[in-house]
Amino acid sequence: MRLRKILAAASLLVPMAIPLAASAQTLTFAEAYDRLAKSCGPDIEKLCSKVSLGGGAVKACLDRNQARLSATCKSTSAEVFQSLAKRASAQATAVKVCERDIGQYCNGVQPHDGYRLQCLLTATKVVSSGCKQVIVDAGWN
Amino acid sequence: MKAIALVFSAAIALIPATAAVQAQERLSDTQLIETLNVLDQSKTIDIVALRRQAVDSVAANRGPDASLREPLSQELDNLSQFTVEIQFRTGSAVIRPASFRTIGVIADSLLHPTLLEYKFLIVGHTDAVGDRKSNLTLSQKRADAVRDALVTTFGIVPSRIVAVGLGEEQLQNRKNPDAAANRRVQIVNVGRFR
Repeated sequence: MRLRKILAAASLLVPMAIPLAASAQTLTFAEAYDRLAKSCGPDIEKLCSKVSLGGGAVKACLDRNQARLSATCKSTSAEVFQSLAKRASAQATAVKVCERDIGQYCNGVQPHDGYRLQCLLTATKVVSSGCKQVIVDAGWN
Repeated sequence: MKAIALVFSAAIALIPATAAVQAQERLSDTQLIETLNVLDQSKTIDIVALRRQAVDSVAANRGPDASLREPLSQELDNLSQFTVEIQFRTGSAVIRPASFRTIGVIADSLLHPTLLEYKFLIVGHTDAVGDRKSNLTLSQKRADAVRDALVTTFGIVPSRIVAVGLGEEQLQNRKNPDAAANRRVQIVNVGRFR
């Protein structure tokens, strides 16, 4: 019984710990949009019901309706979109950031971003710290 | 090959079930990456022909009884693929928040280095409720909406994804043409990219 109480208390703490973890490790699209749906689902259904997910239109609609959003939605969406921007930029720049590492460790690999990045993933122990960080931010580690 | 082309219809049917069950059946990018990271080069599909077949099938009223309607393309079901359910607003191509996570999982998977070398086909299907021609149009719009979200909001290279709507021309559950299992989206590996 006592254990159950402790577990219950611990589970209450978990959601508070997530934002801290997220600042080191960017959110996956799945995590990000899951949080967005949970915190902003009702606002989206109400204020953005005709808006499609494509073209960043849901984000634009939330931005447009800032004043009418619930407090949870406002804070969660800001956090989520910040994390997504960081991840997207890491994914877009990874090959460039890791250029020297690719030259050093992945020389024989076919000239295709997919193969280059797969090689980097297997070489993460030895790649430079900048390259390592971009792989973490891209969510590929 | 058949074992690889897993269809997660069990997870699809569980959408309205309790949260605990849903958590267990939750779609993950690991599942998707593993399933889609297989390319059988002996199998190919002509996407333009497939789209035309669907239109012709409706125009000719092929298999007027939906429960007896043969699948349009056997080839399609033989390729490496993953089936998911996406919730749209009724009669529209707007993806509902309940399915944002699913689209996110697809995006995470397609953007992972393991799958960067492949191209994918998004196939939208409806059940047999309502007008056959409208179903074809709606399924194309919905497949396009999924593709559009993936290439714009989620930044996947546009030339890696093609979308096709097959309406009710290729039912998954022919015994029950109106069953929920027929409303589905297939993500199919259709070959090397570049």
